[in-house]
Amino acid sequence: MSSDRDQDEPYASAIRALAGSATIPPPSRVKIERDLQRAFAEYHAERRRDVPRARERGRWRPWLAAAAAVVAMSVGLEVWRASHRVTENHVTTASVRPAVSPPERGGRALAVPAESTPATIPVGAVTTSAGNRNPSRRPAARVVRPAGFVVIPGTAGLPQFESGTIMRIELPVASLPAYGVDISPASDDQPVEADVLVGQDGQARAIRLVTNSSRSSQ
Amino acid sequence: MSDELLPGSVPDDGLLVRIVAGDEAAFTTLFRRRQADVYRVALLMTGRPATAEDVTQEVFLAVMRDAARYESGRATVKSWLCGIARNHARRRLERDGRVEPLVEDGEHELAAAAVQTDPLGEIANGQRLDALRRAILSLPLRYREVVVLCDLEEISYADAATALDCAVGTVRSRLHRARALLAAKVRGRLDPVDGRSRKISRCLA
Repeated sequence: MSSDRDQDEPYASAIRALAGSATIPPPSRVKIERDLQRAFAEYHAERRRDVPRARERGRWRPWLAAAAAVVAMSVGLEVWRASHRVTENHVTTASVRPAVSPPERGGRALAVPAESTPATIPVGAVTTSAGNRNPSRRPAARVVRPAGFVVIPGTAGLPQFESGTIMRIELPVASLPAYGVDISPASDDQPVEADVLVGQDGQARAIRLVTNSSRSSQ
Repeated sequence: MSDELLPGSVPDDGLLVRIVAGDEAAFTTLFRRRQADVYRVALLMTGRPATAEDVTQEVFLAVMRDAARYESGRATVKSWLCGIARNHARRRLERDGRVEPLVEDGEHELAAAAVQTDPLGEIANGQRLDALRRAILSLPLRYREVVVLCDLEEISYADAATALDCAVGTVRSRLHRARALLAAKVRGRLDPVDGRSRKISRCLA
């Protein structure tokens, strides 16, 4: 008995005697043992037969799982594409023009040459970057017709523009030539606000300077 | 069929590992080593030798199929087997709906198995054991199973709690209550004028 037990010895001896008396009769024990041995042999013989079948079934499982994963990914991609479907395919020169009107900054005007505007900027769904990041509460992407953008030099080799986001940033005036916007030599390094059209690949494609009218339209 | 047995030095959990691998000798060894414990639990739970034999067979069939499910860290093999026996016995009781006393079977007369040095004394002993057995069988199931596991099978309270799926404190309190009930029942079953019987019932109190 365990040491944590507080049995009286007569009770313990009576229980022990009872336990000793409760034994399985030998003929029954022998019969049960034989039955169990037979059942054990049959059970394991059956298992040994089942192992190759299970292996055969198991050989196809990785391929089935891979096929299911491919199908699921295809469906998911298709759903994602459908939710980002192009509502407007191209923005032509007409909608891009007129070229950016240079903002007045301390009496100095920024000159944007007309030839820097592209003939065509293919545009998919262009969304503005403002808005709630929570997708469940985010309103449907706002499709805008971008106007006044000039193509940033060196973007000709990039993949075709399908969709993108307009991001408003602040730039030093002196850096504008690098974006294809000509400025007068007298301009200083004061910052100026600009909208940058960022493509689906994260690459900036076009830029426009923010005028008072476009600021009020945001 | 193999009657080959593994040596006693192979522990019970070692036998289970071999059983999982399909070792029939290990299975036979475990049966011979533990059948008495399983049968005792089944007999004292159900009260019927025939049912207890069925339960014993069912327990070892379960071992044959599910030996891999034994977790050595949770309980000993003996208490695991007793827990399975308890579950099967409970299922049989729920199915049969009642407990039959042992007295009708007459298959396990204690006096016949014992060495009769003092016939009158042995008859008295037999009466006491019969009274105790009947008292255990008349206990509510939740008390009966703790007496069977903890007192008859000498399983630790922790292992009994695992087998019964309850807290150790619950095992302790049930056992305390069960012993008090047993004492009262034995006192009522034994002849009150028999001094030796009164002594036993006092000890059970």
